[in-house]
Amino acid sequence: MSKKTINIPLGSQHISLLEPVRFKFECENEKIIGVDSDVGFVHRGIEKACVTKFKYDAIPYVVARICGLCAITHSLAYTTAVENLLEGEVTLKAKYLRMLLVELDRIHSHMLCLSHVCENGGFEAMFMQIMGDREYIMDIQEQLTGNRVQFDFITIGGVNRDITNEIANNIKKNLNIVKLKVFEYIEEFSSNWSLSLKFQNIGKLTLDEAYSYNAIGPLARAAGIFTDVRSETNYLPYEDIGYEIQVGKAGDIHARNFIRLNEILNSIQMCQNIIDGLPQGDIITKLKGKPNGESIVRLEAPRGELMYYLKGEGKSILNRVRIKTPTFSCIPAFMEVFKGSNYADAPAILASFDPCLSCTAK
Amino acid sequence: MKVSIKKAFQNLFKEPQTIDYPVSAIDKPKGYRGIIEYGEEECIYCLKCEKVCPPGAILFIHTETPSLNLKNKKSLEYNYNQHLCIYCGECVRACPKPDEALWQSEKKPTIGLKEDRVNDSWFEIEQLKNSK
Repeated sequence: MSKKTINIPLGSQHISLLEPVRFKFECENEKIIGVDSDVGFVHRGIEKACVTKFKYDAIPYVVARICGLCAITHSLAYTTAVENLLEGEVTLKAKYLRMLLVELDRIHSHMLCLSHVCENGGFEAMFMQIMGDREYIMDIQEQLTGNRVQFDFITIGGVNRDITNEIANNIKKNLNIVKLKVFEYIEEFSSNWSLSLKFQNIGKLTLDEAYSYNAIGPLARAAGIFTDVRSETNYLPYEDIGYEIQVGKAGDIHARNFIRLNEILNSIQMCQNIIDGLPQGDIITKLKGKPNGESIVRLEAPRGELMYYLKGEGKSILNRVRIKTPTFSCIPAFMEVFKGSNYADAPAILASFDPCLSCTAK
Repeated sequence: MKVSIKKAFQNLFKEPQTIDYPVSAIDKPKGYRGIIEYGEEECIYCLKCEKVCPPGAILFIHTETPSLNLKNKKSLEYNYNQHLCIYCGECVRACPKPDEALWQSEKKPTIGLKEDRVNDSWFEIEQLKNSK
């Protein structure tokens, strides 16, 4: 009997997709046996703009616009790289405030991912519920930075705004509410058939595959790799605020969901510790000079390792800005996961990767 | 499972979480980053705001009818594009007289209409600036 395969595209525009990515699946009956991908649908030339149109001190606001979900990680990675070139030291208070916003960002990004996994798995009510609860985090981000999405909070040398007692109390209040909600999600995700049993052994990435395809972020941690930039670098004092790495075992959608749920709990704990132990001091240090030399910075974005490479020659305009985003690095692993799965599972698997195409295509 | 069924029924009788905009107004938090406002009488025309603005939403161009401000020796006129502005507040932080000459309000930008020539009038200002 001859084996016939058919090619089915998913994207670049598809009802289950949040962002434009195209996967071309080679299917044998229902099984996917080959995958091809294209990610360049929303290319905006931001790297080129950073080395032609904008001065180095305006770029934190430019790179923040690469992505709406991990805007703060982009501007933090860039500013850290520039601070390394200018050999300036940021105050401890500014570092704590930076970590606070990065962790709040991680919480709402993970909540968004979980809600979309529910939606693509056919559980619309849970999607609504998580998106509604996510507003608690969005509210405190808006109070802290003055905007819901584009925070423009981090600048070279520190942060732009200080935290008031009122905002600190609101953050603690809302985080306590979200913490209880996350316990409810954990209960749901472990007992509700639509979310737990249905997702077990679907979209599986084994430990060996994760190593060989260089998976990063929650995708790798769910497969059992102990990799997290927060524990590997020391730009930010994560060990002082109670950071704990979350590692799973199974590598399927269910495991990825639980990695994200546990990371939300850990991030909530870290934010509470930051508010309780916020040091005194200035929020900004004036740094002089122009960036000269090369600098590489790695940061843990909600989706994995974000890398910035900068090269300057003592001028206002930089020579090179290279941005390596987590989704781009994970694409080989994504493609491997699809192989052997059913085509009907593809949207749910894709949602569990939490792909960010505006970061990837930039 | 039982909990989720119970919750689903509870949610049936709950008010929607969305805001009925524009019938009811959206609550803006204290310190909301709105449009930049300018106090012409206090401006010292140092042009620092123009230099630091990331998108170039503040431009000072030469005018035939300058203000009566004595600091305006080069006959400049302040131009601000509220639709190009990203409301980051860099200009206010760079201003030597913040809160008097330049400050960040909590107002939202007005809706940019084609009839108002939002783009075209700004392109003309940019051309004037670049021709100098």
